[in-house]
Amino acid sequence: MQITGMKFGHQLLKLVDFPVAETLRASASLDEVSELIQRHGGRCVVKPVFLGGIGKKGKAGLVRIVENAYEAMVAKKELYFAIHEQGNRRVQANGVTFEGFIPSDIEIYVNISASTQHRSPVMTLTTEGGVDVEEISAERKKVITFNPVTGPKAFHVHDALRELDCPAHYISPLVQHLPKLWQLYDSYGLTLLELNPVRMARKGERYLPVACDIKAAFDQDNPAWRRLGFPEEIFSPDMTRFEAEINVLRTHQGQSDVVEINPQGSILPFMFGGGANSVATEILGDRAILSSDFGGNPPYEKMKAIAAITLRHWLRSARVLLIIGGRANNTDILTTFRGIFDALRENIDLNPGIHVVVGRGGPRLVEGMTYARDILDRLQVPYSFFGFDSSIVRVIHYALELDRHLEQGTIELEQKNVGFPSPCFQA
Amino acid sequence: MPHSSPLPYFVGAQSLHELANRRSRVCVMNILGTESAQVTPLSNAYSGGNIVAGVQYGSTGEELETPVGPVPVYGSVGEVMKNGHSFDTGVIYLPPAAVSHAVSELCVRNRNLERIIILTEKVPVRDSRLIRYVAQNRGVDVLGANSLGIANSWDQVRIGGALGGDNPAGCLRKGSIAIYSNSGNFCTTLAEYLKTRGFGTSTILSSGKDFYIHFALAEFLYCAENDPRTKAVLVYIEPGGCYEKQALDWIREGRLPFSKPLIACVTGRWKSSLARPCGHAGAMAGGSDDAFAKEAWFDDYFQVPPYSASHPQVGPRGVRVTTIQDLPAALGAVMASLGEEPDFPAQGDLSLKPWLLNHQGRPLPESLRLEPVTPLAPYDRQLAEANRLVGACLVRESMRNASSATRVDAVSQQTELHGKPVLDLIDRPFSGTCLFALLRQELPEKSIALADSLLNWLSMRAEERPLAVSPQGRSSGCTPNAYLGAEVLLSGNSRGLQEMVDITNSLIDAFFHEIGPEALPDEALLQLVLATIDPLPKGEVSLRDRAWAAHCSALLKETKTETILTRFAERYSALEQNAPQQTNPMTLLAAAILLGWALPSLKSRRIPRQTAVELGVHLCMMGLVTAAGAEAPLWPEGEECHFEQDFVATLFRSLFGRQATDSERFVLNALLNLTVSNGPGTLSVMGAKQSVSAGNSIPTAYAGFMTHTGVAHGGNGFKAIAWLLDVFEEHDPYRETGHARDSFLRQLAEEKAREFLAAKRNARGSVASPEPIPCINHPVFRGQAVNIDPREERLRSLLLEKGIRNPFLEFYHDLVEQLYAVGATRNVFCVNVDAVIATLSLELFWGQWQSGAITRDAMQDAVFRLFLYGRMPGIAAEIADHRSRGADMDCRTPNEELRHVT
Repeated sequence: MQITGMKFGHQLLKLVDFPVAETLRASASLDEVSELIQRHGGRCVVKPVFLGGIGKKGKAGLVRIVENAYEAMVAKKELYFAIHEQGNRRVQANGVTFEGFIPSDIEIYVNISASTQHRSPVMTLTTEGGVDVEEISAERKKVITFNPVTGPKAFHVHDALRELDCPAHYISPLVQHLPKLWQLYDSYGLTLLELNPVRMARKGERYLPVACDIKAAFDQDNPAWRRLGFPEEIFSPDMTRFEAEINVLRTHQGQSDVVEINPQGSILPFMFGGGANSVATEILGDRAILSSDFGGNPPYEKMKAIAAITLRHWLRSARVLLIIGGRANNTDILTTFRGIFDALRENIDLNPGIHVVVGRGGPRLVEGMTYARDILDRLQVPYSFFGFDSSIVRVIHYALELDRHLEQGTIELEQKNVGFPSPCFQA
Repeated sequence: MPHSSPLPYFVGAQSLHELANRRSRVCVMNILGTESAQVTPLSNAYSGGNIVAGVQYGSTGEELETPVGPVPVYGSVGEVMKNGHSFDTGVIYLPPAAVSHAVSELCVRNRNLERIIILTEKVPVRDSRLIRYVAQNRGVDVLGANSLGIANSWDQVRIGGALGGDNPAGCLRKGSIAIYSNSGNFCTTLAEYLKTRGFGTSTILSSGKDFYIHFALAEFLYCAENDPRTKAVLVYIEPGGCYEKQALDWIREGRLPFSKPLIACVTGRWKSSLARPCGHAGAMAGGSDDAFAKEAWFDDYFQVPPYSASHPQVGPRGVRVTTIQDLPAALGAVMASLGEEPDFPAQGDLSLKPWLLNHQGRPLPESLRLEPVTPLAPYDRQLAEANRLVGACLVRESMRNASSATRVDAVSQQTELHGKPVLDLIDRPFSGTCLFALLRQELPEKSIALADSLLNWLSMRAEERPLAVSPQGRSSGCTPNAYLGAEVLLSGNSRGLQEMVDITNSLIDAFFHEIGPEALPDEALLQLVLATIDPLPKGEVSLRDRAWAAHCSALLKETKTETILTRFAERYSALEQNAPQQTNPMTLLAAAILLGWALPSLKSRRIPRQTAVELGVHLCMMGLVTAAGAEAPLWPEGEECHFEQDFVATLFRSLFGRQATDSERFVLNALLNLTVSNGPGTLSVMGAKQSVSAGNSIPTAYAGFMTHTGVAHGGNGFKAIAWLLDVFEEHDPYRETGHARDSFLRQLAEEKAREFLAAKRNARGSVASPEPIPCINHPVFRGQAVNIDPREERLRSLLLEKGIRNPFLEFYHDLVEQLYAVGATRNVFCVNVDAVIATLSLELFWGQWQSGAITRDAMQDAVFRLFLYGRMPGIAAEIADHRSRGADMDCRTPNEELRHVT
């Protein structure tokens, strides 16, 4: 759950009176943009608006500095629906912002984030911002540790800036403003707050740090972000339709974590436990339609609802339904299998040719397996159930090999030429 | 903040043994919550009753029952302390928002607190930060959050979770390996895996994998180094966080003393591309702590490449593996290199062991074709017990407007019975359809003659008992559904019904678990059952029963379909031959035959035991309806029984009172099969299902079927016949043959088409519309230039293949063409499947109609009965389905769905 850019960053920073670049939305008129440019020394910055956490826009050539309203409108046209690719993510913009240009001879990078090294939040500062912080050598940035309850104080910022040889005339305004960021971080469930760059605007004889870009990551498990009143859909690009449907069922017990891996995949895995999730997704690779963790002892109704949504989305295109987990400590196997296989029974018409592979252990294992067996026998769905005494890795590889075999088309050809054995008419 | 560890933060425990042992005393927060209530009793029993108290806000005075005694429950930690309890370990099962508060409460209220174990998932990162701050300042170790607890296999103690599942004593075997795992599930799974190399465990910690891990690898290794029970440490790691790098760096720097071997597995390379967590909340990598980075940290520490079967090299510090299944082998290699022996003889292996499998006849390559393996104890016993259950075990559910027996395909409008389109049944013997409806599997071809014989015997047997009301109903002008319904309603638990049920139950109990689905003869078993079986129910035996039994025995031998069940029936009857009270030999043989047919379905759990037991009752109903529908006796006393007659011939005789020709039998067979079902939404099916839902017996449910048919459903088939009788009143289509008949039919069709057009034109502008021609057009099969009902097309082509050219049906086809040709219709209407039923029925009546041997009323009665006879198997399937799957009163309509009409 992230936001980037000043469209919503502007609102966020205003909550703590942190100065931000003057920002107009895409609906601004030619005259309004023109006036903005005039107020900011004849330049403004045009940036595409991406929902969710999209970084490195500058590197991708998606930030334009323009000198008149006409150029601004041309940039708006070019960037409004710009495509940005980062890793395996491909996202499309939906709008632009016009931001007043802040002339500055220095760019500050500041970040407050949770650190596993310190098991506490830390503030990272450098006076060489505007670029990726990873590109800056360790001695040119300062990691500030502080009391995790009270947050970074003015003296922390001061000492760090001095060590970074920050020009003296910038130190006081930064000391005055940067600690404010802790209020945002601490009050709204943030796990990361990054301003890059902060440019130093001249206000008479004084300087004012002005945030020109922002990245903020929120803790999904901390409801404090809702107090911001941001529309929930700004986080929605993080989720596909399927993920969003499942996410409605999310509770603190877990039981419904899913990530779509490859909609063209052919193995539909129901994974139980974070470990099985990690191992199975790694081995299945692109053949997995999704990665999931349905562990945490889900009750019957929830398990069935999750399974029904998953099957409705993916059963038709799947060749193998894989149910995989280690030897459960507490998850009741009968309950979870009842949920899954009742849902399968109700949705089997979507794909009567599915094969089922199960690798599982845990309480009421045999009861769960025999319940599933009885349903699959009645549906005439082929199955292989492995107990926890089989390597979970081998079971996953078995499902993979089965999927490869089915892909070869041997069985599909049989179905086409001979006719698929009808559920109740096998010789 | 007193601590003596070399780590730059507080660590209270000095060895793994300190973290959980027999002296540990525990207080559980939210002890009566769902998860705790499931886990805590077993944990308390396994750990020797170490849980001294629990907290449930607002529940002072309650108790949690455990196998070693109740655990007192208090409203707060303060109350626990005030009541004199002492504990060093707090376990938190509370929801996320309450966790940090509970940590504070434990720290503030209990000065003796040493550690807290947090089970809760999805604790906010902010709260986790505050928890660490409080705990570090107070000097308390925190395990978790999202931990599944800690277990000490030596002391048989587990605290704060369900490590070892429901059988910790069996799973957690004492040994020399400590396990540190980011996955709680893998703690137990890896403990199982290690046994395959003969290694047990000392202490197992589920670290949790939230963003902050409060008791991380460095702390664990520090404690492992000081734990004399532990000779090596197994670690399972996921992406996110630099806990492992810190630990390994500190060891190399000498800051953290650790001299024991490590065996590590890192998974989750794929997570580097994730934008949000899936699975463990903390398994989200930044740029430098993804799985690749973590693998490199360990490889750098071990100074050897990852272990695999092809590269089994290990270093003195240990080795990394790429999959968890290699952990036992790598551990074995590391320990061997150090001269350490396994803790006990190896148990089992990690090969693929399918406990249950069924490829359902699908072709699979050799590598995928596995054989089932008997599960390890105690699962072998559990599976054997599960397999002792006979047939399918179905969960009761509401079957209102639901069926697993029939359905109508939304696109093709074809009705399916147990997944098979009814059209595909057309040329199957109707007796086979009756059995298929109940067994959900087709009867082998060689058994059809026996099925005919059983149904015929049951119709004869029904006749032997004076029929109660059907003659009276017929003479009073009742419709057939009324007098046949009354007949089945009054049959109750009549002779044979309960006998058949009781005998079948005895046969199942005696044989089911001893024989395969083929029920092959086995003399030793037969002798054993004959010697030990409880006496079977006695009943009346007629000479004709004996004759039928002899006929069926001969047929079994002739068709080579004898089973151990039928041989038992014959031998049992032979032993009783001279006894004053005997089991009816034919009832016994019929039960044996039917159970033999039901065995494949029972063994493959396609039907429940109840359906198999009640099979005979359903067939009795079919026999009764057949007998009661006939105006004259089907099996008159003194006449020779036609044992070889097929059941359709008997039904023909019941309908038409005469013997059928081969061609007529074929046509009637097709008609009956075509009528079997029109889906679960029909009135007749709903009547039967509602009767079942009300808790009625099978005969009463059949009466429900009958009372839900009538002139609009079942009797409406006569409407098309009446229309055809008018059309052909002066034209006998059988007078002509060949081209002359074709020409005559075309002319007649053109004439009727023009008449219809004229009527249609006359009706313009008036309220009345012309009477529609029955059986043409169909809501689904229309809109094309030429419309075809595929069901009719299929049946017509089947008849033509048999050389059966029905003039009335041909007339219908000429008619739809002529209607279009004269402009009466916008396109060529389809001739629908009901036309087939009407025209085939009319052909069967035509001779009697022409000779004046049958009246319109009698013909109407017979058409209605034909519908009822044909619908019987479909109804049987629905009744059996609903009885085995439905719940009492499930057919009620909820109040909110009711409408009040004014």
